[in-house]
Formats: sequence, C-alpha cells, structure tokens
Amino acid sequence: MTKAAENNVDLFDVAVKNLHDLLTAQGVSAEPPELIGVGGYSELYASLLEVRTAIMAFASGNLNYKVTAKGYMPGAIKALQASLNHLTWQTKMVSSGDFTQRVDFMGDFSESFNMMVKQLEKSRNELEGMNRQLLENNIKLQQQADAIRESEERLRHIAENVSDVIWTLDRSMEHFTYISPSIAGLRGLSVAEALQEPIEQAMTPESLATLRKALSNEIVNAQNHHVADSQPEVIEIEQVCQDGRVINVEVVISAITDSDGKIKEFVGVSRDITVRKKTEGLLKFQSTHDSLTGLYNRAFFDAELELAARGRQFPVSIIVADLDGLKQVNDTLGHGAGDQVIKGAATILQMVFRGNDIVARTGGDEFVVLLREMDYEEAVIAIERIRSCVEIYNANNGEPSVRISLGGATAATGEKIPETLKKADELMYADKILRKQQAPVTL
Amino acid sequence: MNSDRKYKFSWSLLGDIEAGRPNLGNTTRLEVYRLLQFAFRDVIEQHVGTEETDKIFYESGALAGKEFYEHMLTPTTDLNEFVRELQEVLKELGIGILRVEKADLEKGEITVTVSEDLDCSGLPELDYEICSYDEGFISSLLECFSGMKFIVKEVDCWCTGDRTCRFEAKAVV
Repeated sequence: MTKAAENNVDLFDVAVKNLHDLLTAQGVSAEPPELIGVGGYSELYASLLEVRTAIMAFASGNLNYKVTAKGYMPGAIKALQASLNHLTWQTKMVSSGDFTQRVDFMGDFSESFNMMVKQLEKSRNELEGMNRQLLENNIKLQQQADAIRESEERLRHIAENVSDVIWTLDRSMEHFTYISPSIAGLRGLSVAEALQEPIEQAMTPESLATLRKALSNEIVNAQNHHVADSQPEVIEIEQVCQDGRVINVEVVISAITDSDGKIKEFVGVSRDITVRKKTEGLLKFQSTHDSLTGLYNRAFFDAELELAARGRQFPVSIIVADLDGLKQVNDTLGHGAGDQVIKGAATILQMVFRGNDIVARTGGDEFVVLLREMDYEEAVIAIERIRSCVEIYNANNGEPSVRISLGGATAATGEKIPETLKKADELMYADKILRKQQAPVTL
Repeated sequence: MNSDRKYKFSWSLLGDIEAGRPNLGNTTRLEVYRLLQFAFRDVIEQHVGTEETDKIFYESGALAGKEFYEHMLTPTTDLNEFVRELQEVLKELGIGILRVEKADLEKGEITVTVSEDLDCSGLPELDYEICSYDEGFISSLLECFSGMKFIVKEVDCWCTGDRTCRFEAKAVV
C-alpha cells in the first residue's frame, strides 16, 4: 500500500469513528481537523450534527427548535415537528372547548386522542346538562323562596292586623318567641312586655295547668305521628290584663314539627271571649231560671226531678207552694202588685231553703221545692218555717200580703217521686181549701 | 391602473362547470394544474425576472385567497371555527392538509403547515421554496378573517427536501 493510500485509510477510519460517535456517543465529538475541507465531509458532519441536535431538542420537549438543515432526513424531522406542534395547538383548542378537533396523522395515537376528545365532549355535555338542571333547580328554589317570603309577609301582615293574638311558644313551654301586636288590645301589654313576662303571670294558675295539659296533648300526638291528622287543641283560659281585669280567652293550639315529627314549637291564636262567655252564662241562666223571681224554672225543675229519681240521695221530699188570691191581686191591684206578691213568695222560699235545694217557680202562682236527703219530719218543719217566714215577711212589707198554701210529701225511692209530687200537690190543695174556710182572701 | 382592464378577475369567470363539462365533470389531473402553473412561471420569469415572477405569484395567490374567503368560507370572528372550516374546505377540494402549529393573534404570529400541497408536494428537490402563490393565498385568508394585513413566508418546502410546507405569517403593524 502506498503512503497516500495508507493516509486515506487512516482518514476513513477517523471519519467513520467521528460519524459513529456522532450517532451513538453521549457527547458530541468535534469534527476532526484533518477532515476539514476533505471531500464535503464538513457539510455531511454539519447536517448530521443538525439532525442530532434537532432530535435531542424534540426529545427534551423543545418543539420550537428551528431545524435549518435541508434534505430528506431533516424534512422528516420537520414533518414530525409540524405534527407535534399541530397536536399541541389542537390540545389547546380542546382545552378551550373546541371538541371538533381530530387527529388523523399519528396512527394509534390518533384513535386514542379522538376517543379522549369525544369522551371529554360527552362529559362536558353531561356537566352542562347537570349545570342546566342545577340552574333550573336553583330557579325553582328561588321561586319557592320568593313564594315563602311572600307567604310569610302575607301572614305577618295578617298577624299584625287581626284582633286575635297570634303567638309562638318554644318547645320548653316556658317562653313565647313571637306575640303579635294585638296583645296590646287583648291585655294592655306591649309586645316586648308580653315576651318578657313569665308565662305564670300571663294567666291564672288553673289556666296555666289547662294550657300545659293541652300542650302535652299536642306532644303526645306528635310522638304518635298524629299531628298532621289531629285537630288543634281548643281551650278556654282566664288571663289577667295590665289593669287587673280578668278576661276569658279562647286559645287554639297547634304543634309545629320537623320532618322527623319532633316538636319545634307551638303556635297559638288567642281570642277574647269575655263578652261571649257572659252572654253564654246569661243565656244558660235564662234557660234554667224564672226571669221574674230568679228561681229555677219549670224545665230545670223537671230535669232535677228526673235526676233525683235516678239518684241515691233519698229520702227526697217535695214541697208544693201555691199563692192564694193572686188572680184577685192582679185583677184589682194590677199585675205590678201581682208580680210583687210573686217576688215576695220567692224571697220567702229563698230565706227558708239551703243553697243546694231546688226552689223553682213552675207556674204563674205555683212553686215547688225539691229537697234531697230530707225526710218527711224535716219537710214538715220546713213547711212550718215557710209559714213563719210568710208572717214575718208580711209584717215587714205590708199589702198586698203574701199568702201561700203548702203541701209536702216524701219519697223513699226514685219510683215514688211522681207519686210524691202528686201527693204534695193534693196536700197543697187541701191546705188551700182549709185556708179559704178559715180565712177567705179579701182585698 | 387602467380601469377598463381586459382580465380583471371575477368569480363568474370560473364558469358554470356543471353545464360546461357534463361528461368530464369538475376534476382534472393534478399534472394539468401544475403544467399550467409552471408554464406560466417559466414564461413570466423570462419576461420580468425571478423576483418579479415570485411577486406576481404572491399577489395572484392573495387575489385568489380573497375571492376564496368570500365565496367558499363562512365569515366568523372565532379563530377555531375559521381554521376548522378552512381545513375542511382545503381537504375537500384537494388543495392540501392544513395544520396549525402556532396561532397568537394578539402577537399577530401564526405558523401553519400544508401537507400534500397542491403546488409542490412530490416535486423534485430544487433547493428553493416555490410556494409563493400559497404565501399570498394564506396572507389574504388571514387578512380577510382578522382584518389585519399579514406577510407570509414559506420557510420549509417539499422542494427544499421537507415533507411538509411550513408558512410563517406575521401581521404588518
């Protein structure tokens, strides 16, 4: 081999090693000085170095590396760079919500990417659907809240403008949590005063017991899950006003429960029924009493007679009293005088008998007295006492005088009562005949 | 410029192809298109020189891009929609496969690639970028979309050994 040939072989070996290092070694080996300018080696070295540098840049994530080399291999690397850059841009578009992006130039990755985008789109659509549903629900909730607020406003307006007092009481049954302003009209208290007032001072002790019993009933109903079905408790209590008056109050009570049926509080409506109670009392009195004398009337006496017949308070005595000459008094002195005689008789009978004896005016001039647990001897004494009182009365009151015929009888059992009444009546007539014979009535 | 020009472009000059080619239809071989373009390029270069020829092709592409945008695309202000429709139309018409590498309209910088390009893909390596018509075409499309004037330069081309044509567009401030 010639010297020149030996030199060429040496240069070839150096070139091969240099290019091999360029492809495989971790560090870049510089272009051997002896090859600079040799047969286009520098251009080949520069191109391969550019390809190596570009690949290393892409491998480390730098897709912006500008590949300056030309030719097939650099062109292929640029094509890969273009694809990766486009993929980066597509990913950005997807992240901004453009789910129409599709990859069609990267084999299996394209399928995976496109599937991911479709799934993202599906997920977004589902989320949007959920979001729409949430918005709709939110709107509905807002509408419900508005409706509740309007309802509360309406109820507050009603509560603050009705004469009835509306209140809420906590579940301890001790503290009022709301009292409507109409409390001022009911009891003369301001709302603040009423809220601070201990419940014991708000009503009489008996009424407080009644109230607590009603509240307890509501609790029992709640425990038995009957609140929704049960009627509100309605009670009547007595409350003391600021000025000391005692008024009758009707209270309607309901329990407010939570979804578990536990009592949250009580709500009540209190109404002043003092006038109604007085009217009811008056009507009841009028239905059982004689308006002229204040004695029990015929209807009440008949009912008491039946009760006595069925009762156990024997013996029962009956005294029948009948005014003498009432018609003559009415005819000659007028009905005013007649009424005076009737009232006088009633006064006399009330003087003689006990509070629990039934003294009734059963007819125009007829009175009957029902005496439980009184035997015949006692009844006779009572008759005598009537006669004594008549004399005393007449002595003190002048004309027209009161004159009464009397008859009495005693029943040992309930069955004997009708018969006893009849017998007392007969004895009364017998007394009347006798009295006429002894001292005829003259005016 | 002479106002009564003979060859002023209008879209109607493309003609009623359906009526005019009932048998041959609306397609031809790509070689025919390239034959036309490179024949023009040759003759024009002989008349006005290389630089002026490239300029003529750039401006022709710009004119075509403007007409193309007006007649083939839907006006929009959304870059994504614009790119998506442009990709679809270019692919459907066999012009090329458009991909966006970067797009920053605030900076006025956009880099796109066109693969399987109508003008150059498959050409022999020539050591110079040849897609000056595409440059003008893309510049007009971007201007019509954004309202900003763009200068587009082809930085990689099939003819320089690359597999895809890369165009860098920069807005003219």
